[in-house]
Amino acid sequence: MRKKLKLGIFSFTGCEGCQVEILAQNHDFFRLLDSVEIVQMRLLKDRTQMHEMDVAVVEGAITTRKEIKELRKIRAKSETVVAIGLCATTGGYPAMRNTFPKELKERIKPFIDKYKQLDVKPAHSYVKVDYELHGCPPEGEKFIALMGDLIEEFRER
Amino acid sequence: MHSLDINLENISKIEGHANLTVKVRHNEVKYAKLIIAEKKRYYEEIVIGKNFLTAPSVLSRICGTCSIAHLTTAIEAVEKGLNLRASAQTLRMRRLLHNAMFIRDHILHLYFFALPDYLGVRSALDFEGELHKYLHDALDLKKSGNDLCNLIAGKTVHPLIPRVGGFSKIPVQKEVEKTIHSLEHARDVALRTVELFDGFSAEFERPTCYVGLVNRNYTFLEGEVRDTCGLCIPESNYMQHFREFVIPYSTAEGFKHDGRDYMVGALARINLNKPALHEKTRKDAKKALRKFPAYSPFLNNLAQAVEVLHCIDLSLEMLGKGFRDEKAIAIKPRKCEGIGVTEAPRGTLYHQLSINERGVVKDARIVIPTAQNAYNIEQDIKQMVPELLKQGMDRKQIKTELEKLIRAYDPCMSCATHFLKIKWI
Repeated sequence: MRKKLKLGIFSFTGCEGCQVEILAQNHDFFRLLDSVEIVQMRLLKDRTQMHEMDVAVVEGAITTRKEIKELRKIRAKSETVVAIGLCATTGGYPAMRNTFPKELKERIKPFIDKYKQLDVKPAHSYVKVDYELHGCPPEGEKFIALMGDLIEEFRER
Repeated sequence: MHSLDINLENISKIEGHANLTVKVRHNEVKYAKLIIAEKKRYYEEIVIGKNFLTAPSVLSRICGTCSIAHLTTAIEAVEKGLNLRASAQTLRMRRLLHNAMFIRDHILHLYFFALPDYLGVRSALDFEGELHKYLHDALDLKKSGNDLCNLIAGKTVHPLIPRVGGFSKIPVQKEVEKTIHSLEHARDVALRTVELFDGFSAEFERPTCYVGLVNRNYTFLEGEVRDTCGLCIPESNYMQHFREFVIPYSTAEGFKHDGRDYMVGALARINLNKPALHEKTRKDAKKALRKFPAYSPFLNNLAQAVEVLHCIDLSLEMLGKGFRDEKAIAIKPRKCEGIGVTEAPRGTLYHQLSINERGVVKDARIVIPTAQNAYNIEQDIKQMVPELLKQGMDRKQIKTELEKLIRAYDPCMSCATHFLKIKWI
């Protein structure tokens, strides 16, 4: 049997709509499993320890130190990192709070302090991101096409 | 006598991130808390200052799974505020859109989140050999929901075609026929799904108060807010109900209803309104429906399966009427306040919006199903853990059972995190 590409899908601060859109690709998504082994995807699998992987897909914006740490760990464990969706590539809607007027900033301050939240930033602010797929959510077909390219690249490696 | 502490971190196979902490002393649950681990995103503040026409699409970003529910509920809030009556066709299209979302969401939950628990496998990704057929069934059903969603709204997550005043695009007949075909095919699979989930036992029971939006066609956008204890709020009193009832009961522990725990979602809806299910559904799911009204939260899964069948039957009937070309109503803003109340897949959803004379959003309050269910889940845990201990289960088994319980509610943590007012911890 041919070696399968090890894929991890990780979710940070966002609505998880990117993963819903990926799953909406239905048969096309599950056909990927012929050449891909999903090693992490909390939406579908029990928790496991993070191991080395070939491709890490990241959705959601980065909003806490814990998330920064997790993202750096993912980067260290993965050959390729792909950021998908508005939040992971730009900070998206959650990042609007970075520029809230004073009144709103004060309103949310107790919670920002309590949960130790930072300014909302995209993944590339903290780690090297190899590919970005834009859109809210990105078109599922584009994700499948990108995975196809990455699988090809993996086989040639 | 048992004492143990259970910590479930980052519970898998639910929408969003959540942790559970349970403290048991001498067979008694001293403390059970479902903690939403997702980071708050402050949507009630983000929407302030936005134009009233874009507000619904901003708010749909609260959740990727139920984005359509947030979209239509916010649209309804704006329209109610402006006293705008959407056309009959617009309302029908919105009902169809909710049906599409119910099919897709319920199937995602039933097959990908809940079924692995029942089959004793770790993930739907492990549905191999004999189990592979379930993956096919799940994908066929999900496809029919997606097809219907694409027909009405153009895409499945955060669509832009539904808007205040109507839709910016009307389905063409050729596509309607394709979707009808897809739904007809899915109907057989939906029947199998009902039978599948009817076959799983649900031993744990705890009657609670069941709350939902009720009408005689079992649609999800209109009706009276009712509960199984006699409450009945007509549409004209939503705002008063929301202010005097829903909001005050949002306590530190979560939402209480009339001072007690309550449940929203598929089980609540069927317990409240079983006779209103589509007649074809009632006929073909007769055996499963005998279990309702039911008091086991685990039967929420069976209720979801029945609702999938109902949504298919109802949609086939609604699509049969065809669509005529129609423009969305043009709207001028004015100072107003409106409330939208709908049934999302996980239960009753409230959006309250205030806009000023220039159409700028000044205030927003949103109450979501999972927040309302959290307290009820904790009460279930308090009763369930001693029962499991009596059956001789060890810590690991209890952990698994509790995860199953939480999953049966199909909680949506993405939704649950964006509100300042719910003080969870």
